[in-house]
Amino acid sequence: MKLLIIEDEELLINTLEEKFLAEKFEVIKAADGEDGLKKALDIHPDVILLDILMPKIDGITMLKELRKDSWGKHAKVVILTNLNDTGKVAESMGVGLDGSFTYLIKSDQTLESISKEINKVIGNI
Amino acid sequence: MEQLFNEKYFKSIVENIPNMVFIKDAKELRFVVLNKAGEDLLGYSKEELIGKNDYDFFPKSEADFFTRNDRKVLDGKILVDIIEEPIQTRLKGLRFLHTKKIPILNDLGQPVYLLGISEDITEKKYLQESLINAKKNLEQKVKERTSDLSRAKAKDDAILSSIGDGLIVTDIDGKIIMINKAFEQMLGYKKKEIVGTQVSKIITIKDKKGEIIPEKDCLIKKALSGKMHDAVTSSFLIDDRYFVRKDKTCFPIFCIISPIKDRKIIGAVGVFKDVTKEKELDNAKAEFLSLASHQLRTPLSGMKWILELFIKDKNITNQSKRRIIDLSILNERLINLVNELLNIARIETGKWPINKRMVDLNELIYNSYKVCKQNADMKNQKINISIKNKLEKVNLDQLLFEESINNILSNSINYSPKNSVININVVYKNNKYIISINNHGPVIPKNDQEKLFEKFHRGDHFKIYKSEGSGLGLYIAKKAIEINGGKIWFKSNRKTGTTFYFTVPLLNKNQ
Repeated sequence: MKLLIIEDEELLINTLEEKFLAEKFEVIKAADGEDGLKKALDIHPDVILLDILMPKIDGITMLKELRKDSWGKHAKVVILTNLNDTGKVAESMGVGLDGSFTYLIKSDQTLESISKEINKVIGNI
Repeated sequence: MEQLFNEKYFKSIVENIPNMVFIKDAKELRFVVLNKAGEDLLGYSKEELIGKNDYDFFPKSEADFFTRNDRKVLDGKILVDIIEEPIQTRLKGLRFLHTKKIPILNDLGQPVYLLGISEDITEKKYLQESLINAKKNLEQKVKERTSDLSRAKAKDDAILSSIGDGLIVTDIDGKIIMINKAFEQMLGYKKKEIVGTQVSKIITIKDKKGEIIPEKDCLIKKALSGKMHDAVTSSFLIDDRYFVRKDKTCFPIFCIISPIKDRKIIGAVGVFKDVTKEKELDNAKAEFLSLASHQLRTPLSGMKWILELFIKDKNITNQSKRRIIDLSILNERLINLVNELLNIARIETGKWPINKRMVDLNELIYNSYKVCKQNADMKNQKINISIKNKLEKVNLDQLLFEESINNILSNSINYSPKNSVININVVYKNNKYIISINNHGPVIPKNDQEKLFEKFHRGDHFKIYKSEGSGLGLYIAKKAIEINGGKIWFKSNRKTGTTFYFTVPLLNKNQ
């Protein structure tokens, strides 16, 4: 299972990578939205873990661009958010959050529960 | 006709003329005729007067005056009109007369007699004098009042001119009748340009998106319509109103408008303030909050996850494992405190984006129960939920509601003993739901009761139950409840324990 993690904070992305490697995922990392979009369209991962507040092009913009692509339209994206960014979250709701391909996770959960969510999304559970 | 000029009738006419009539002989100015009015006036009878002259009855100065005039008449053979002359009477004191003296000539044109007719104008004179005095008095009073008013007006003008806030007064039709200097400066219009014109033609108000707010929503129109009972405020934090200057630039305002009443509404007065600086401060706060949230998230989430991985390491000793667990607990506490502080900051600066939607109250209460149940189970406490009838959907901000109920419920769990019971109840009353959460913890002492909802307040009694605690929970709960349109209160006694009540308003049927 290919997991693309798009997260600008090095410490966080490395920790996430460690967790999911231990869960036997193939992990691809991207440090910003631009790089993330490129890798997503190149590699077509099974699931994308996306951080909303990133510099360069922020997460929402990246998501909007992704959805314009014919493959990207159906790509499974899990959004990491500190749920107090309700403004931003609402914005992401406007980006085709009809329940089918975009999911929200609070970033202050444990790695274990984040992992459970990801597995649920790709149908491993 | 013959009879009229009969001497007897003639005499009678003269005798009864209501003014004094007298005749003096031309040579020695002795009285020869005096009528009744004259007798009454002078206080002497004819008999006393006839054959005598003025010097026999009046003070010399008066008599000189009379004689001078008499001579003028007789020598000049002219009528002399003495508008006013004083005369000392016997019984009536000093009187004033208007006298006309006429020469009576013989056939040769020589004066033989002097005829005098006098009107007693004393009353008239006094009346005139008092009128003049009254007029003078009035004039003086008017002068003083005018001077008072001018000074008062000047003072008011000076005050109104110098208040830093803009002032505008309109009449009942919305026509501008007064503005002050601050208004001129803020908006770039001069007094003479706009006094007398319709307020809606001069003042354009925009919202934060730059769209013009329609006239009917304009606060001055609302004030004039009589639909408000006291001042209406537009708070710059909520309404975001902007005035448009003459040069088309905008600036944010805070304004208060009231109707002017004199039994009924006769106009409106508005005071407004340029809040550009306050807005800038506000924006700076918002940016700080956003930055703080984002920047704090990384170390807090990072630490949580790394500790999670760390603890799974096979190579660490039990002692190290214990240390890692302690670190995790401390980190959780930090995460909770940061979240509370950020929530407070958001609520207080109005940066909590309020999303009110129709929500299922049953579900929200049950969710809160699920979240807090774990802690209750650890203390072997039982939570009873009692809801009489199925609750209608309510309109509120879900996250704020969750903050309120979670804080109150977790307080109930934390600050009551093991093995005790917590009761959650919902009743309907007066178009609202009253949610009550009751526990059997210690009674809250009187001096703590007053401070219960204050930031950072922690009752000493309660520190034994939970040593750490920010003292922010109830403060947040209260604010959150109030934003959702409700109220919070509590009862604490030995019999029933401590019960917190808070309300959730239902939508008015008319809305």
